[in-house]
Amino acid sequence: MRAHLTRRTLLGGVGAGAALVATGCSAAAGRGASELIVYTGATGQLTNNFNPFTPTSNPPARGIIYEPLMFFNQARDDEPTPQLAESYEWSEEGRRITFRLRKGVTWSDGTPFDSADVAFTFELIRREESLNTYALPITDVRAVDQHTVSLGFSRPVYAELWYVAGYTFMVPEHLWSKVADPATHPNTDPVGTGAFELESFSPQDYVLTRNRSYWQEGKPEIPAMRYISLSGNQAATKALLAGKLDWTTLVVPRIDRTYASRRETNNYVATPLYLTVLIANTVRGLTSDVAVRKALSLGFDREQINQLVYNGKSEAPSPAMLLLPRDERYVAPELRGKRMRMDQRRARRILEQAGYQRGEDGIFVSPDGERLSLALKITSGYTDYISAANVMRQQLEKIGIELVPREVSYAAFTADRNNGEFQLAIDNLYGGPGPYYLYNDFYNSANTAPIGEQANPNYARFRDGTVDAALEAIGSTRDEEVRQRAYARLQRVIAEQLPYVPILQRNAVTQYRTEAFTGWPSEDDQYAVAAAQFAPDLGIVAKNLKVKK
Amino acid sequence: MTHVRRKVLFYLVAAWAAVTLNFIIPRMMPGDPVDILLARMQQSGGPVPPQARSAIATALGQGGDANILVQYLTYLGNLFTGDFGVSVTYFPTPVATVLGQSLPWTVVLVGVSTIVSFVLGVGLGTFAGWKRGTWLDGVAPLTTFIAAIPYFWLALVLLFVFGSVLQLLPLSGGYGYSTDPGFSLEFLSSAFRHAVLPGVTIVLSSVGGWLLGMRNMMVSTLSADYVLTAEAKGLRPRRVMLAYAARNAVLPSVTGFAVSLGFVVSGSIVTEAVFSYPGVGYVLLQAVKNNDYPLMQAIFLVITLTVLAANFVVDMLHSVIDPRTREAG
Repeated sequence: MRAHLTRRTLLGGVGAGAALVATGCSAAAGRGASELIVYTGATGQLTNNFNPFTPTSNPPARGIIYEPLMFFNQARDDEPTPQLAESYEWSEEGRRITFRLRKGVTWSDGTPFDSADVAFTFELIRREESLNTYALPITDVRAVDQHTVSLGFSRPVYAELWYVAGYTFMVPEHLWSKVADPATHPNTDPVGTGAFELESFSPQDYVLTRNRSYWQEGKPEIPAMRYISLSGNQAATKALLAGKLDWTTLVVPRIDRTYASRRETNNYVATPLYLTVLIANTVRGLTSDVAVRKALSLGFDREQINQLVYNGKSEAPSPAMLLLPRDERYVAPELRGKRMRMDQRRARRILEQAGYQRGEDGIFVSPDGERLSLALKITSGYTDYISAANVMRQQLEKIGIELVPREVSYAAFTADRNNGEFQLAIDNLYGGPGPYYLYNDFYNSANTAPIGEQANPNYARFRDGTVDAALEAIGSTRDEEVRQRAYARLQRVIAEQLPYVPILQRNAVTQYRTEAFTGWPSEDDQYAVAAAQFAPDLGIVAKNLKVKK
Repeated sequence: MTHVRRKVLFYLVAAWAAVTLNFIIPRMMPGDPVDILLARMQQSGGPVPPQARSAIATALGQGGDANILVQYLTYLGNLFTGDFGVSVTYFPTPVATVLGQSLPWTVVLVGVSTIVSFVLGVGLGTFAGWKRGTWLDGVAPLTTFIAAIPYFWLALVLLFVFGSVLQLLPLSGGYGYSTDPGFSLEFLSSAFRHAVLPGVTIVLSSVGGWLLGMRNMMVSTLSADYVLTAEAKGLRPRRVMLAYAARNAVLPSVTGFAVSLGFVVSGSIVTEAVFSYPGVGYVLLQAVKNNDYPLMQAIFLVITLTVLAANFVVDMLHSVIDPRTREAG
C-alpha cells in the first residue's frame, strides 16, 4: 500500500488529541510543511520515558523538551552558547560558579522558569547519588535572587563546566518536587522549557509539536516532528532511500551514488566525532613494547581502509589524538599539520633496532624468542571493523607482523576490554567539546586498573607521570597559555608511546532532506552536531530549522 | 486420582528447576548492562567520565553487592508477587510493562496461526488419509516442500512479492504509524493487515508437518481391525472416518500441538525479526543484546511456564481422549 498523506488537525493546548483524517501504513511522509520525520536508531517498541536524568530516555528529552544552561558545540571550536543561562562567572579559583539566568522563560504549562528551578535541579543531583552521573562535588546550591544561581564545589571544576552547564537538564520544581523517585520516574507527560512539546505517544512513534511561547523570538519554525521506530539499519536505509525519512544518522553504503545523487533535496553532512583505534595492552605481552606499537602504527595504509570501508568519508588521524580541524589550536607546534601515515620501511627498521629478527616464515621474533603474532579482538557483527582488520592483516604481514583478528560477542568484548584480557582491540574513543575529555578519560592513570580488574576507561592501562601532571594542570586553570603548554607536553608523550594506535578520525554522517525544511548544519556551518540522536545538539538543530518557502 | 496427583507433583518440580535455571543461566553470560548503557550514552553525545559508571550502576539498583543466595531468594519471592524488577534496556520501565506491551502481539499472531495451521493440517490430513490412493496423495509432498523452505527465506520472498512489488500489504510493524492502539476499528483493521503476512508465513511453513503426520496415522489406523469392524457393521463412512479412525490417529498430533503451543511465545523470534513485529521475540533479542537480566529472566520464565502448562493440559487431555493412559498411569 502506498503511504498516504497524514495530516494532523492540531488542536490547541497540551494533551489535546489530534484528529486523524487519513492514515498510512508506513512512515507517512507528511509533505508540504507539516511534519519532520526523524529516526534516531530506536528499534522495536518505544517506551514512554522522557526523564532527562536517565540515559535511556527518548532522545528529545535531552535538548528538545528539557534544556541545559549553556550549549557546548562538539562540532566546532565555539565558546559555550547561552541557553537558559545568559552568562556565568567563576570565583574561588574554580570552586564556585554563578549563573545569570535568562528572563522571560516559561515552562510549557505556563509557570515561569526561575532560579528556584535551577537550584532545585542541582539540589536533586547533590542529594541523590544515582542522579549525579558525573559525580559533581557540589557542596552548596544557592538561589541568590530570582535570576541568579550560585553553585559551590569542593574542588576546582573548570574542566567539568560541560557537565554542569552543558549536560544537566533543568526540570521544573513545581512538578518534580512531588516525584518520589526521580531516578526511575518515567515522566510520561513532560513539561520543559524547550522549543517543542510532546503531543502524542505510541510504542511505534511519538509526535512533538512547536512550543508557541518559546523564549527565543521566532523559533522554532517547523510545526511538528514525528520520531519513528524501525526494525534496524536495513529498514531505516530503505525508508531513507524511499524518501520517508527527513533526518537520520545512518551508515549508508556508497552514499553519493545511492542517496545524495538521487534527488537534489537529499543531503548529508559529515561531522568529525570520534577516533577509531587499536587499543594496545601496554602492560602485558608483546604490545607492552613501544617498538611494536610504533611498527604497528606505521605498518598499515589508513587511506585504503578509509576508501574500502568508509566510502572515503573518514580521515587520517592526527598523532595528537584530537579531532581536526576543530582542535587545531591545541596541537603541539611540532605535531601541527601532521597526520598518521604508512611507512613500512621505517616500521621494519624500528623493530630491527629493538632487537627483533625475521623468523623463517617472515614474521619477526622478539629478542625473547616470541613470534610477533598479535591477537585482535573485534565485536562480532561489526562488519566495518572486520573489513578494516582484514586490510590491516594483509599489510602488516608484509612488514613481518602477524595480526590474528578474533570476533567475540559484544558482552564478551566489553568484559575483556575492561579487564585487560586482550592484546589488541578495535574500539572508538569519544571525547567532548575540546580535547581534554578524551585525554583525561583514556590516558589518565587514575582511570586504569591492574589486569583482571575493571579499567574505567583507560583500557590500554597506560601510566605516565608527565601525562598525569599535564592533565592536572589543564584541569585546574583557565590560563590559556598554561593549558596550551600542558597539552603540548601531553601530546608529545602520547604520540611517542601510542597506547592507542589511531586508525581513523571518524565522522558521523547525517542524512537530511531539504524538501520542506532547510537550515541544517553544513560542512561550512557546523553550528551543532547534526546527528539525529545527539543530545543536546538535536534541540539546537530542531529549533534552527526553517520551513522552505 | 493418583495419576493426576503424580502429574501435578512432577510439574511442580519441573517448574522449580526451570525457575532456578532461569536465575543461573543469564548470570553466566559475560559482560555487564552498565557497559552497554555507557556506550549508548556516548553515542548520544553525553559525557561519559569515569565517575558515570558507579552512578549508572546505582541507578540500575546494582549498587549493593547482595550475595547470590539473597538474590536468589528475593528472585523467588518476587516471582510470587509478579514483580520482575526494572528492565535495563528500557530503563526505568518495569519488566512487567514491557512484557505486557509485547506479549499480546505474539500470543495473538503466533497463537492464532498455530491453531489455524493445526486445524488446517489435521483436517486436510484426515481427508487425505481417508481418500488415500487418489490425487490427494500429492498434497502432502507439496506442503512438505513448502515447509522445507527455510522460514526466513519464505518470509522474505512473501515480503518482496506482496509488500514491495504488489504493495498489497505493509512491510513491517504491528500497526500503522499514526494509528493509536486501542479497540477502534481503525486500529484493529490496521493490526490485522499487518498480521496477514507473518501469519501466512507461519501457517505455510508449519501446515505440511501436521498434514503429513495426520495422513500417515490415518492410513495406518484405517487398516486396524476395529475400523474394519465398524465398516462391516455398516456405520456411515463419515462416522467411521471421524469417530473411529481420526480419533485414534490424532493422538500423536495432539501431543505435537501441545509442544508447539508451548513454543508460541518463544518460537516467534525469526518471524518478529523479519517483519519487525512488536512481540516478545523481538524484545528477547534486545534483552540478550543488552545483558538485561531482569527482562531475560521474565521472558524465559513465561516461556518455560507456557511449555509446562501446555504439556500439563495435553497430559490431562490425553487421558480424556485415550482412556488407556489413565489405566496405565
